[in-house]
Amino acid sequence: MSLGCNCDSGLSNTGRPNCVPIQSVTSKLILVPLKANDGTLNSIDLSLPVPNWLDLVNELDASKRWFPLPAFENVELPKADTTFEEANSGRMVFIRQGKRSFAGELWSEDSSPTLLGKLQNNRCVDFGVFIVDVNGNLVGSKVNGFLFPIPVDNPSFDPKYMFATDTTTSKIMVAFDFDRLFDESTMYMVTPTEAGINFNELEGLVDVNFINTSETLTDITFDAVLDYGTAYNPIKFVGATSADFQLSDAGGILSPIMVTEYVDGTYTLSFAFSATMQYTITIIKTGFTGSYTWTA
Amino acid sequence: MKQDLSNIIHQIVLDIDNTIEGTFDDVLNRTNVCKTKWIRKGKKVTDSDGNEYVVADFVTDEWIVAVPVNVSAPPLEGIITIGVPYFITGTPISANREWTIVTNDVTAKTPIVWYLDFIRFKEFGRESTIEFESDLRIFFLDETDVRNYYTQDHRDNVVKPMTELVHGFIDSVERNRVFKRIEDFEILTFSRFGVEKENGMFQSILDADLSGVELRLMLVKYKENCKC
Repeated sequence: MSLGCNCDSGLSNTGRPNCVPIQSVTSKLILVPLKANDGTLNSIDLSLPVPNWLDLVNELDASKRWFPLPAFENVELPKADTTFEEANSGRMVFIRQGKRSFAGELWSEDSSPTLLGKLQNNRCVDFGVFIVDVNGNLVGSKVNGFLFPIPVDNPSFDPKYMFATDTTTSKIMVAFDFDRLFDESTMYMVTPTEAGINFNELEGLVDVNFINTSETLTDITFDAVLDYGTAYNPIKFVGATSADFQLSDAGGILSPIMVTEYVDGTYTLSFAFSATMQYTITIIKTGFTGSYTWTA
Repeated sequence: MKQDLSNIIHQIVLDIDNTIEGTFDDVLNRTNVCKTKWIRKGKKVTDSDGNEYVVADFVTDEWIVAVPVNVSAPPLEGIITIGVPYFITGTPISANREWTIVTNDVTAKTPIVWYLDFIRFKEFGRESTIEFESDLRIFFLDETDVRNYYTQDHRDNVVKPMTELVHGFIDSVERNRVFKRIEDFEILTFSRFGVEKENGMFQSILDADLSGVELRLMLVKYKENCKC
């Protein structure tokens, strides 16, 4: 433990092998809730084969999902000075290490105010981050055979929008402090070779909204749009097929369903619905999430 | 440096996204697209099933009219693949020789991405996360019609698409995080690619009628993981 001192041993051995993997410049962050709704801590079990990373991003349970942010620019991870108590004699006594902070910028197309709104909601969630460097390595906290996200002091999470100027593009400036009790000596990384994926390639899910819905006992028609776009014209969710939707009721998943896209972003789902029953249509297309519930 | 710079540039060229997405408009009988990239009239494109089409007309970043090579092929839509640039490296003399002998079919070896062989780079020591930085001169060239084109035609039909190819190259660099983000780059355009002599005679550098652009940029690459 590097935060205090270990009284059971002397000085630690300091040899090292020739090739030690070290992390490079921070490229992006993957936000992960610290604890899932079922009470388990979110982590990677290092005793098992590597997980399917895309499944983690597309996880239906949001409390277990990985939320990769776009690539950052101008990342800094400064550490505040350590606090000592100094006696009149000049003798210093270690009190605590300074906190580690993160500051980075999301530029141009990654700096939409819509994304800002989504980031601002994160402050209310206890979450941690996996750090991804420019080489695609994933850095987390290895404890007892598990790789955990590095805990963030979530009330300090502060995304800010910066308007474009004559010389600079628009930006979202993201800043936060790491949990002050985090032991940095527990940081280990998973390389792209081990993982089978460059972690820079992971992208977060896109929210899809159901609007202009019209329901009958034989079908439901709706427009599927994203949060992004212009004030008049949100970007349409186009090109989905029956396999990209899931229909369910209180009893579970219902099938088969037939979904047809008549014009771009306008879909009709056909099914023999029962009156007064509650149904939910969910988007299960890779990279997207969204659902709509109604009573037939 | 673990890999030769020319191989690194070649890989960036291979990683250029040469696809565009289109939807066919039955009424106007054309394929609507958001980007036309470096597409040109008379060049071939393919759809996701491998069907070939010849571009008959297009409006930049609006639509394409494409004629199928096989008349039974469906209208062009979906993921459309544009020709992959042909990469060469070397000095003017060696590049010209290698490019000339590879095939007689100019359409099969254009557009050209020519990395001028004046390779000089700066490496960094232990204190830096940077592996190297290098000033690059890369030419993006395509065939042109010297008999029938006016200067403006050269610019509209070749220089403009080749400028788009430069942007594809820059995008390929930006998508790969092992390269530092490019802050700025310089583009020099050539209505005719070659050397104009004092007596007005024009001499090509490569043995073909080409137009295009030159890209000058500083490429900076981070060090990668050590391999034991």
